[in-house]
Amino acid sequence: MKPDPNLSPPLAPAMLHILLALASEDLHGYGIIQEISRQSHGHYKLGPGTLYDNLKRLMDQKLVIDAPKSSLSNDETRRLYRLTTQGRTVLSAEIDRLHSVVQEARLRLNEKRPRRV
Amino acid sequence: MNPPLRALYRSILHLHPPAFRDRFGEEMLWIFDAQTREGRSLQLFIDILRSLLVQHIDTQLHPQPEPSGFYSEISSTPPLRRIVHAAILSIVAVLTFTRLFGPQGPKPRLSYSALVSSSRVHNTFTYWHLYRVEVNHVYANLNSSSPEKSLSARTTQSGDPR
Repeated sequence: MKPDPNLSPPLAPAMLHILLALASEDLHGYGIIQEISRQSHGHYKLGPGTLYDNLKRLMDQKLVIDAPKSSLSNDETRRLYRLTTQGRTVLSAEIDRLHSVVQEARLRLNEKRPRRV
Repeated sequence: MNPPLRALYRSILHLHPPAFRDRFGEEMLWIFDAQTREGRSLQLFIDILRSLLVQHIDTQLHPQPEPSGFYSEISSTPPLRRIVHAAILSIVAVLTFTRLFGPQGPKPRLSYSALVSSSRVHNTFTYWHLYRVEVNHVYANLNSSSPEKSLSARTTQSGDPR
């Protein structure tokens, strides 16, 4: 399948959070939701529909794959999802983009200070 | 867990495209059970309705290739594209039929084919009948004109005094 231009940065927030949740370990669907909630301090809660819509797209683009059966330890009935090397590259590119946005924003904010009323 | 809500969620899930439902349906139901306990039912229903819309649009825009196995699930729901094609073909067929066989259709031609319609047979007979009447009339004129009349006519035209 051809690489989707929508998957090059900037990524949709749900995709970014899913990739970020899978960056450190393999997780199942509910685990991804919990990890996203934890990372965002409870501000961003994903529903199962949004999660699997985005997960399907990420899997179609080979950024996320099913984890092999041998790695399933505790809960063998649930599928685990794993970030691929390509997924990690896309995530890194997105983090770099966000970092440059933050840097630019800080510069602008420091340059122009609002007048005192 | 609320059984009616779960049944409703499952029925909405059943409206998703088969490939998506088979792949993620059970996991979505499992997460629904877990999150219902947190009291997020309304958000979950909005979420799955949005997902339903997204998946159907995605399926229309990017149809998946058929699996190469011996057995595959056949969707009983006809795709919208086929319904539109069928409607267009039906309209074209009806218009063509009414144009050809309607009261303002093309005029029948003389034909000797055995496979002609009854109207064509009727028109063929009429034309043939008129043709025979015309031929008989010509013959009658020829026979009625005598040789003397024709000879006197010729002499009058040539100006001979005899």
